Amino acid sequence: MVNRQDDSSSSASGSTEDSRGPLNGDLFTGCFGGVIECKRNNTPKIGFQNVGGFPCNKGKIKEDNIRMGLTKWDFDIFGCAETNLDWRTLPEEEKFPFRTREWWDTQHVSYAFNRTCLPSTTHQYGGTAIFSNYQVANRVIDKGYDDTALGWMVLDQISREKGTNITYSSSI
Amino acid sequence: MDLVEPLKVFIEAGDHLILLIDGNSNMKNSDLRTALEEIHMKEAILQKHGLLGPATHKRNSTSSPIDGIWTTPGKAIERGGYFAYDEVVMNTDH
Repeated sequence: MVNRQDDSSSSASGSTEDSRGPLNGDLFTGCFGGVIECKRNNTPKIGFQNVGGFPCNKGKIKEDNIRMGLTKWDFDIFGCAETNLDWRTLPEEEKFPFRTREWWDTQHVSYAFNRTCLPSTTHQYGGTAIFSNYQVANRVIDKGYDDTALGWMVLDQISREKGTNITYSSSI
Repeated sequence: MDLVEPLKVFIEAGDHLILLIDGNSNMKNSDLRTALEEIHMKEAILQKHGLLGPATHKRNSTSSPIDGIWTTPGKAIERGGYFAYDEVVMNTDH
C-alpha cells in the first residue's frame, strides 16, 4: 500500500501536504507511510479502522460513509473496531450481514459484540467485525470470537494453496 | 493478558497471524506491545517505517499510535501505512 523508496513518482514516508511532522508535538493530520496505490495481483490489501459505530438503523449517512470508505479502497480484508450496536435488538434485515451484503461482489463477514447481558438498548459500546472480500471470501474455513463473549475479538481463518493457514483477527 | 492466550493457540497450531487492533495503548511502547512481542509478533507499519509515525487518534498529540496491525514472523507487508483522518471512513476520530 506504500510507495517504494526508490519510486521517484511517489512520496516519501510521512510526506503529506500538511507541513506539520508526525513528531512535532502538534496534532498530525496527514498520512504516514506513503500513498496508497492500486492493488497488485496476488497481493491482498488489508485495512483496519475504528469506525466509531454503525447507526442504529440502515440507510443513514454514517453507514454510507463507512460503505463508501471501505469499498473505495478495494480492501480484501478489513477490520472494524467499535461497531457499537447490540445486533440482537435489530430485525433480521437490519443485522450486520444483511446490511452489508451488497458492499462487495463476494464477501464474508464475521462480527462480535457483547452478549453477556440480555439485549436492551440497540446502542452498545464495543464490538468488532471483519470483512473478507473477493477471493479471500472463498477461502474462509473457520471463524471465531473471544471466549468471554464480550465482543472484543473476532477472527477468520483462511486456507492457502500451499502451507499453513492464515488467521486474522480484529480486536478492540 | 486475555488477548494473547487465544493468539497462542493459533501460533502453536502453525498458523500465520494478522492482528488488527485498536489497543487503546501505545503501539510503540506499552504492556500490550510487550505482550505481543513476547509471542514474536511485530507491528507491521512501525516495523516497516520506524517508530517516528504519528498518532492514530485525532486528539492525541503525543504521537502515540493506538491502532496497529501485528503479524507473526512469517508475514511481512509489501507496502503499508496510515491514511489521513477521514480518508477512509469520514467523521471518525481514528
